[in-house]
Amino acid sequence: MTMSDEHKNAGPFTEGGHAVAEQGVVLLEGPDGIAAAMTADAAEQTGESLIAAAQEARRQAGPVARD
Amino acid sequence: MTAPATDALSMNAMDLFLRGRTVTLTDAERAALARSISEVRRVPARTTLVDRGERLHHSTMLVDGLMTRYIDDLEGGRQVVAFHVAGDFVDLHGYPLQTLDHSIMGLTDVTIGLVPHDAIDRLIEQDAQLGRKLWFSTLLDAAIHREWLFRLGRLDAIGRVAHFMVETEARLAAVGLSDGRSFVLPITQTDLAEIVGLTPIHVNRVLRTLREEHICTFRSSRVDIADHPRLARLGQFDPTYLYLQAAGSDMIDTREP
Repeated sequence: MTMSDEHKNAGPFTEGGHAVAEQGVVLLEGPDGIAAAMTADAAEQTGESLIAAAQEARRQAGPVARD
Repeated sequence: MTAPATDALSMNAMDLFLRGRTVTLTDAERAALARSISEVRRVPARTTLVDRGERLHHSTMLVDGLMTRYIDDLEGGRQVVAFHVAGDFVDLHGYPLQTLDHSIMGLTDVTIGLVPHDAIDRLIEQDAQLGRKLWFSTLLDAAIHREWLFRLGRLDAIGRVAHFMVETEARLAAVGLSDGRSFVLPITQTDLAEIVGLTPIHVNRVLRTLREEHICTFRSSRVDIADHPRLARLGQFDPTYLYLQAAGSDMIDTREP
């Protein structure tokens, strides 16, 4: 591998996952190889946690993005 | 149930071993291995033959049926770490390792041949080439394990199931148990979930998608592959790791750009 090689694993996912409900369970597909099944309660907790973390990540990235 | 090793059963077992691979056995090597089988057993489905950590004194050749290697977590969840078809040595690595770091179970009723480790000692001492071929067999296992890491680490749900189906078709075809489109697969959706690291509900949805898209149908212990190239693409299937001879037109490396 050379320094110019860029690998898909090198950075965070830029496309979101897709969730569907199936037989009373939430199935999360992606991004990439993520495939998880959760109860509705666990899915809601995960969703709230993701949104809170996304807001914090934006706050962290903000000053860097403006440089 | 145990039965004395018979020449016919023993030869049948070894007839499938390494069949269709890039390294194959000579007739003399096949006969020598067949003679090393001390006992043929028929074992009911869902029987754990070897528990993780158990001391081994023989290795198991799968003559007929399907078997898995598995590891259970502390909560009782199971990850299948290998899937075996007729003609596979299920635990040849147990010969040098002496204990297994996983358990072994038959998914179906199985017929197995037991090869004592001291018999393997003698085979290797007498025939270094046969020893290298046994080594090849364990390296083939390792190659499949690497591919399973890729499957679990990189593929989404439909890709994992697609990859398993295409791989299993190729392995069964190598031993004459698939016609390239259809094969018998007497496992449950829960088994499949434990193989591909998904929940049974997730697997059920994936199978429905594959069926509705007219790609592959898994029903009543039978797999019918309607669109092999598409199934292989979904699973990013590259057959290189199976070390098969004369890959056919279906054996396309779908990871080539």
